[in-house]
Order: sequence, then C-alpha cells, then structure tokens
Amino acid sequence: MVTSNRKCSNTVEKTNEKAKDEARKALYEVTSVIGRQEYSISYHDPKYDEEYIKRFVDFFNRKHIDSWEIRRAIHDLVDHDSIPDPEIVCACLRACRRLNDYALAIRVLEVTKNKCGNKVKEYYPYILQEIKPTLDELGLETIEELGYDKPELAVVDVDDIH
Amino acid sequence: MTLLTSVTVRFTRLFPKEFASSVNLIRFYSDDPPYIRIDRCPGREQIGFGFSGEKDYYDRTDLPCPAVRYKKETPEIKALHEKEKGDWHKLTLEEKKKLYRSSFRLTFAEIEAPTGRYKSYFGWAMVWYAVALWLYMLFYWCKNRGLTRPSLYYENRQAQLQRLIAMKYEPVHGLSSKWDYEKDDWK
Repeated sequence: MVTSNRKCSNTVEKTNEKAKDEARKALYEVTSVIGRQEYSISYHDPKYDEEYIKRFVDFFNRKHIDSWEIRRAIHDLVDHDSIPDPEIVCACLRACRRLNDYALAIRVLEVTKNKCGNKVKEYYPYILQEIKPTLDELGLETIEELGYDKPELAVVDVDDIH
Repeated sequence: MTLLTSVTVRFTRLFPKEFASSVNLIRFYSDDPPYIRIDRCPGREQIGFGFSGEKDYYDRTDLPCPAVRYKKETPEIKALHEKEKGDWHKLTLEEKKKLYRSSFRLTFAEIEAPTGRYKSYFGWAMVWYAVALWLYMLFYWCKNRGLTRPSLYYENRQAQLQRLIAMKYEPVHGLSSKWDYEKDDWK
C-alpha cells in the first residue's frame, strides 16, 4: 500500500483514509482467498496424475509406434519434472520390444533411475519391484545386473583428444 | 552474407561428395551456392529426431536418445540385430552389452562419472588470485614510494620556501616582493 508523509488538506486526508480502508478490505479478501484456494503449488490433484499417466501409456501402447515417435516420447518424459510411473515404464519397455530395440529399453531403465535424482534409495526399489514382472516377461536385465550402475569403461574426453 | 557463403563453400570443398548427406536448396540470394549439410555420422541410419534434427550423436542425460546409433552397421552388428528380433531371453549377457554399446557410447553412470576437472579449475583460479595479489602489492608499493620523497613533507617544503626567500627569488612581482626583510615576516 502506498503511504505518504506529505501534509495535505482535510478532505484529501479523508479520501485517503477511505482508500486505505478499501485497500485493507481488498487485502483481507485476497488473503482469505489465498487461504482457501485449491490450486496452490503444493496442492496435488490425483486426477491430473491419472490423465498424465494415461496419456503416456496410450502413446506407448499404440500399435504402429515408430522409432522416431518413441524417442520423442522419451524425451518428453525426461522433460517433465517427475519420476516416471511404473505403468509408463512398462508400456515404454513393451514398445521397445515391439520395435526390437534392446539398447533403448536399457536406456529407458537408466532414465527412470536418473529421474529419481537424490531419492534413488526411496523410489527406485519400488519402481523395480513394480516393473519386475515385465522385465522377466521380456527377458530384460536391470542395469545392476548388466553392471551399468557403475562406470564400466573410461573414455578420453573429447576436449582432451587434440 | 557474401563472406559467410564463401566460408561455407570453402568448408564444403574440403569434403568429398560422399559425405554430403543432403543439399538444402533454400538460399538467401539466387546466386548463392547451395548449403550442403555434411554427414558427420556416415554409415549410420537416422533413427530419431535427436537433439536438433541433425544427424548427430552425443551423450546427454537430459536428452537420452541421440539421432543415430553410435557404431556403424557392420555385418556382426547386423547379425546381432537380426537375433534381437527374436526372443530376448536367448541373448547372452555379452551380446546384450554389445547391442547396448552399438547404440550408445556411454552409459548414464559413465556420463555422470566425476572427471576431476575441478582440480585444474581450482588451480587456475588460485593462479589468478596470486597474480591479483602481486599486482595489488606492486601498486601499494608504488603509492607509498611517492610519499618517501623528502620534497613532499611539510617541514622540508617550508625549508625550501625559506631558502627561496633568502635567495630573493622574484623580487619585483613574485615571492620575495611580498616578504618584509626588516620584520622577517610577510608584508
């Protein structure tokens, strides 16, 4: 709110007070609205989650999915600030199976682990447990079984070659 | 624009025709030479959009699927791809690893492995700090060296003035004309 220390005539002071009252009321309303609002950042809408998962799963489950499309969808998944749901991961792995791309399937597993960020220990075991049936069904290994959870090869940096 | 095009022409002339993957016919002026896009990954099929639509390979965790496979399609890898079309249970662990390495150069763990570069960065930072400190000391020394000259001190300047008066310096209009030699004071 704007206040001024400048002296002014009586009428102006009165109007000022009126304005202040109005502003106070408006502020009060705003704060009360903020207190009751439903769509804050911390508010979590389960409906949105379902739609989000369904959108990706539907895309990966398409019959004639292309190698370009699946890569685009994976990039899209990486762009979101969220850990991919086991359902999405399973659908993606199945799509990889249909495209006969084993390497891409392993990369998807790596992406899911990478997206867990600092909370790998909390979320990654759960995701593994959920996707384990599909892994066994498709004949996939986890990245730990392949030994890709730790660096396997050391490569000279491109900047250091020349 | 002419300079740019001449650069591209020279650049493209360095490469034989086989490396040109596509020729873009869109030009700024009608007499510009066509822009030739150089194929930096010859012998590989483009399998995705990748980073920018260019046929290019890179290792990035935020864009995990590059546009091409890392290795060329040798007969060995072709046979592996044929085998990949069957049941994945029948593939051995080595074959699976080969398949992965044919598509990608590095795993995520290898991309994110610490490189130790920070040591050189720290070292260079310290070098420039040292240079700055030496420069500071140099300037500090220069500044203080000026004050050590005797002619800059008040007493010495007073003595200089007294000597000028004793020498009757500028007696008509200048310094000594304002000095009363009988009273030994200013007029």
